[in-house]
Amino acid sequence: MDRYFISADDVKKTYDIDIVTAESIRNGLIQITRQMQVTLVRGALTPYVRDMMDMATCIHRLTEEGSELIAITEGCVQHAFTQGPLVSHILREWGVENFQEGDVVFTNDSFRGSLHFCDVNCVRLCFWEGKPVFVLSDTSHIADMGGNTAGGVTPGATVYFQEGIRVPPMLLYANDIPVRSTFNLLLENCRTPYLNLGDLRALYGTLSIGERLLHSLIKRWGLDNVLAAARYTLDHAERKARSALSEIPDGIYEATEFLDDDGIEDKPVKIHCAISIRGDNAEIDFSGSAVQCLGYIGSGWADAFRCALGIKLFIDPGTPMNSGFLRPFDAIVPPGSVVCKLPPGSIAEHSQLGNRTVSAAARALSLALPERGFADESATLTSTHFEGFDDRHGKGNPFTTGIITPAGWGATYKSDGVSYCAVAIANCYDYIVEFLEQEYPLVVLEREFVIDSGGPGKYRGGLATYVTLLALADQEFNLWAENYRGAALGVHGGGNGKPGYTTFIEGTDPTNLPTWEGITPSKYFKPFCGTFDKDKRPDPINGKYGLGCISWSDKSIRVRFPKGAIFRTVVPGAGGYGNPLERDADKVAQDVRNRFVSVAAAEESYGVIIDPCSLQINKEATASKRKELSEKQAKGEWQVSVAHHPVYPLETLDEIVEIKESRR
Amino acid sequence: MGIEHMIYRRPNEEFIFIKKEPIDAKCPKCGSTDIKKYPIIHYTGPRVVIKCQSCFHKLSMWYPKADEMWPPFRPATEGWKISRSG
Amino acid sequence: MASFRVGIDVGGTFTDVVAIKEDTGESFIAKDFTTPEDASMGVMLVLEESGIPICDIITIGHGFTTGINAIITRKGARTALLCTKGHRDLLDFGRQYRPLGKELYDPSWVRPHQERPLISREHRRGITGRILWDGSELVSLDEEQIRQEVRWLKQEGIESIGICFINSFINLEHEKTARQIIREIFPEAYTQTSEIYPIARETERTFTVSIDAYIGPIVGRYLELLERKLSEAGYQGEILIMQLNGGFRISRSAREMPVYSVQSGPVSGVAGGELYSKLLDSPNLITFSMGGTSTDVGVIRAGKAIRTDRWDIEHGIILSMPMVEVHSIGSGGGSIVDIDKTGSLRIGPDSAGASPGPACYGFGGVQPTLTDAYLIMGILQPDLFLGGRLKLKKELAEKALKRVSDPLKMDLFDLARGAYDLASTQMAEAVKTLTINRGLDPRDFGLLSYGAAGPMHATAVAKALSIPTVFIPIHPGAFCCLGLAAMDMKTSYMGSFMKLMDEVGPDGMNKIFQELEQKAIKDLEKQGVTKEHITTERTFFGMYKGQGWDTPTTAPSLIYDCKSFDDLKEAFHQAYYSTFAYMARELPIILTSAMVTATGKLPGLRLAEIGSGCETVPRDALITTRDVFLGYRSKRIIPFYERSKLLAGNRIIGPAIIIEAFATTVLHEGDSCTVDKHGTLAIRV
Repeated sequence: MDRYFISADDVKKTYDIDIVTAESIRNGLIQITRQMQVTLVRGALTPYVRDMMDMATCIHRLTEEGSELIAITEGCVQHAFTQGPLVSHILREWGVENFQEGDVVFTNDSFRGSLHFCDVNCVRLCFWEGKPVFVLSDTSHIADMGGNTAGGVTPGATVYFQEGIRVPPMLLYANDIPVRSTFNLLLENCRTPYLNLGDLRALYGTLSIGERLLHSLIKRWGLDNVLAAARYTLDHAERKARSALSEIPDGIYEATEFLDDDGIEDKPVKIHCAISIRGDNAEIDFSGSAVQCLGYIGSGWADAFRCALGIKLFIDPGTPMNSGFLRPFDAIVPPGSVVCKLPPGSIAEHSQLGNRTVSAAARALSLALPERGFADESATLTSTHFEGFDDRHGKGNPFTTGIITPAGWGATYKSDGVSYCAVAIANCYDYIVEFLEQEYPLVVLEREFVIDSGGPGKYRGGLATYVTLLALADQEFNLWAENYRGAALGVHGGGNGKPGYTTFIEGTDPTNLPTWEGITPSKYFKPFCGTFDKDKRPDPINGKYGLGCISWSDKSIRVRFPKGAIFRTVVPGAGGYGNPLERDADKVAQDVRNRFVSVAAAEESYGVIIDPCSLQINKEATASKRKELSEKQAKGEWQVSVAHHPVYPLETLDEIVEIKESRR
Repeated sequence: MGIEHMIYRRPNEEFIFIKKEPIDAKCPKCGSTDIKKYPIIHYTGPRVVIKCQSCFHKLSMWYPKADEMWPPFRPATEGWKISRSG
Repeated sequence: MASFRVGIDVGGTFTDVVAIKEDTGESFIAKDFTTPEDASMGVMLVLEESGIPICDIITIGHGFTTGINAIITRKGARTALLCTKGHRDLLDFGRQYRPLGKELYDPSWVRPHQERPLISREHRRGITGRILWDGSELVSLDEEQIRQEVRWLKQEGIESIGICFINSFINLEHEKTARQIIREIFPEAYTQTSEIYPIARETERTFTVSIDAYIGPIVGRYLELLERKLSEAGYQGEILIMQLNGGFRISRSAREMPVYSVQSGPVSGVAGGELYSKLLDSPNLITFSMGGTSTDVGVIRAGKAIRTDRWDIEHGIILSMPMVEVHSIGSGGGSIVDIDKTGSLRIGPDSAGASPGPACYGFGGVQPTLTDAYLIMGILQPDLFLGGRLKLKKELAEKALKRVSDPLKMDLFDLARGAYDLASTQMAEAVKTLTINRGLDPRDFGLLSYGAAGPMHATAVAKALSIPTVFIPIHPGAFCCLGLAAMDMKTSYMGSFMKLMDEVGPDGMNKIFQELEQKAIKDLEKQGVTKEHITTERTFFGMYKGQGWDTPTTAPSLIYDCKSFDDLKEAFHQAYYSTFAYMARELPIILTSAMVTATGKLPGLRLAEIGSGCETVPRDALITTRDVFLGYRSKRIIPFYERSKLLAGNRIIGPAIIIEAFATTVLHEGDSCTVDKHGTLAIRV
């Protein structure tokens, strides 16, 4: 019997509540946050919330230390790890005794545990018979908080004053009445007042609905039972986490990840993560990580626990998230490092960092425990933020919008990685092309998977996606991307995912784009940023980051995107798991038929020979090729390379064998 | 007070480490004398701990005092009397 | 000559028939196993078993699972998709999001369509040609390419082709041309285009078109076969097919748009609820159906089932069209009672299904299920199950439940009772999803419960939500068929606009609705409904400028002027407020789409009245008294009644159990049940 098992009698003794009631309320609390989530997503105005679900809705309980997160519905998964510490910290500063019924406190401060200024948080206490009994909070990504560029993620920012306004905890509603001074401050310091107003109302409405639902739960079961069940809920998650931790041998598990650069200095940014396990306790330590960079990459102290998502993926994916999961952990983030920037350093771009702290934590465990491991995800929310005037209706309406292009997850010990999936720290709906084209002067010409982009392995990494956009009006964009220099790392013999890159398409027009599975002959484009060789081939093996590019960095600001221009982003693919020579040859052939892998890459990375015309496997040739590669591999003369296109056309797509040989 | 904890200069080191300060004590749980004091993030927010390094038992934990510089940012108004609007 | 109205429901396991005698309203029920290879075989068999002469049947209402089964098992037609070049991965994208729940944190989770595609990527062909946001053409359609692709698809053995291009909701010309080309060079292929449901939202539309193409040939074959068999057997009427919108379409027409009737069971039940809403004079009803593997909840408000426009058949396989809203959870009598490593007790989500079934069936199941818990509690009795046709094995149920109660150190009976309570709470949560969570107060509703297990939990669920009255209709085990015998014809037409409401103006709204109404009425007339039996209903979908989710608002059927146009906007603000607890009058409203639903009234159904008696139950209705654990650690001897022997006016005070062939009703302490003139049990809780 697992030592973390408790019997029905133990439940009764410990919580003075029967197991059936405890389980009923546990579920009831989660359901309330679900409904709050629906309210917020459907009620919010910014695309960040309505489509990308960059939000979360939470219930906390009050404790002597502050508060603990009991139940959450994650829009954006990262909040499940940051809302607990953040809300507890704010309550401590504001003082629980200073809350009245119907008060809502607002903050967006990254130095108090929020993620960046555009992620705003609202906190309301739930009163019962005149006493505060629970805490409700919600958070969402608001369209704009001012600063140097729209959208808050400001490449080139070095101090936080450039990214927008920093709002310490302030009263947004007093006894359910909007506080005009706070609203004025928030609406007069942004480019999108009507969106922000809608979002603030949605955040407030969601907390009101949460309180109403929580009241009905308390009415149904009684306050004492709900409080007891809240303790049970937290302890249950803690028991699950401890049980899983105790199965990992004591020791220190370490991994290192690198961000491409900070947009200011041309050098990678190191993240070092060590996870120490002692019995069922653990410590996460980021000592040895790079000093805080000059540019906008970084976070306050939110990554201390955001990275624990990587551990959760590994040890206990099944249990609904709450503070109980975090109880066995302490986290160390050295002040002055990139994971704990000192003010006034800029923390505008927190998400790319978060992806890496999560990957580092997951990788530390994956390297140590191969039987359960998985490779790196693409680890980037490749974002492009557009700003300009839409003159399609003759009036020149100002507009601003952002799009995120998802990539893939790493292959695991038992499966290929999922493709077209938001990074682990997020979870989103994608944008609706037809809505986007109605609202903004953009045409999404192409949006598909990229061939040869998933890290080769026994299990293949998730694929990259490419997006080609046509401007219908003069505009500018900011780009922020990752893994254009580096790559999503494979594990246990799996190859790395293909790095990303961005180009302007030239010398052709939208009616006649020479594109095949994300590949366009290099004659037709000008590299914008990424790793290219001297002939403009995107080439992670022999190329150089920034070579021949308009921008040396994958974080660029205010790029002119004139009417009629075509711009393409190819996001990075995810890492592979295990030896690609062990991948089932039929699966490789299926990948070739689906155009996930090219004939050339099937041979080069997997040792599988496919006829370019019939797309059938040549069994004999495959057997001898695989034998040859295995022998070389054993002698250390061969190892699978990063995912790439073995033949990249310069002039015409006919340089690709399956196009040349194809009957059609 | 807090007003000194608002703006910092960037450190000069290339990589940053946390310093764990040795404490002269014995772990009541495992008997080890490898006891250290350092700032952490706890699931309820920033704290300072005195903690056994061999079994991770916490000897004590507290909300950081003003001079403990943790978290690095502390509001200037810490400890002020509160008004209706905060 | 007697004449009958018949409802036939083909479910996953059983095919049910209910026949209502037109003049007396008497009802007859028959049930047998579904024949999955050719469902029409089972239908004919059960009809024969029912003893109703086919030539005496005047109408047949029919629901079937052929479509949904083809999707779930991926045994649909070999299907291809013509889509806009550069957009062929929409089905695999599935709007990108991950499910909430345990998959959210599972690194090995793969989106269902990526893992098991309906249409493989090699058969999704990107076609050169591009329509812009305003309907203008950026790139002209490459007709020669379509010819090449279609020829190749033909060689590949494709039987069915869906066509869905970007922005076709505003300009269908490219799709129409493509369809024309297919008809010329590959006429035997089934084709479908966005015309079937031209909403703005490329992924949802592509799925609707693709799913239709995927099941089209199979559903078509099934219906043709059934039409032929029934007509050969002497049936002269139309077969009326239940659609997701809760109304009928005649079989011939349903074959051209099978996606509208992809699944009918749960919808038919809610449709039956509409019937009962009138019968009971209870305009607000929550329908609560619990079967072996799933529980379906629907809501009837002011006599009408509430509707939605979106259903995830599997995660990221999205069906978007007007449909009766049914909230389903994968929990039923076969759900497994389980504990995790730390002792947390839970019901499901795993289920013993139809095979091996609950442990007490003795078909090899070893894991404890809710049904085993019912048996241990004494709600089910070994000798009284299915009219004595299947003898339940108590010792197997005990053994199975001990797998959980032993480690928990829990009393066996308490565990059984606890599992029952936990399941009731789960069901109550499912009901909340459609009521409290939508701002509806359950206390304003009655709970209409059916399905084999529904009446066992109904009063417990009602109590948890303070619902005052529970209704158990006749034939709760085959209730869907009653809906199928009683519904009206229905058709919905939709158009997408994506325009500021103020730009559309009253005249624009008039034009939009009138056009949709003409289409809808014409459709019903083509199906043989005469004009005087047709009523129409208007709905528009709006959102505040900047939003991405629209909210439906009902609109009155009149010619709008400035005043009534302002009323429409105000109605939108109010509808918005009731859902989101705020409104934004200062923001412009975008009209995303408009919909007209036309109903073709069929003659009303009359149900027979049963014999009447006094409050005291007739002596022969009491069949036994047994020990039952309805409370924790306390058993009581309680009476068991046979439902068919009860008379109108009878009153039974709980605790008591009322049994019939395919269902069991549980009355708890304090429940007071009266029998009404149609045999409905009305229980005050």
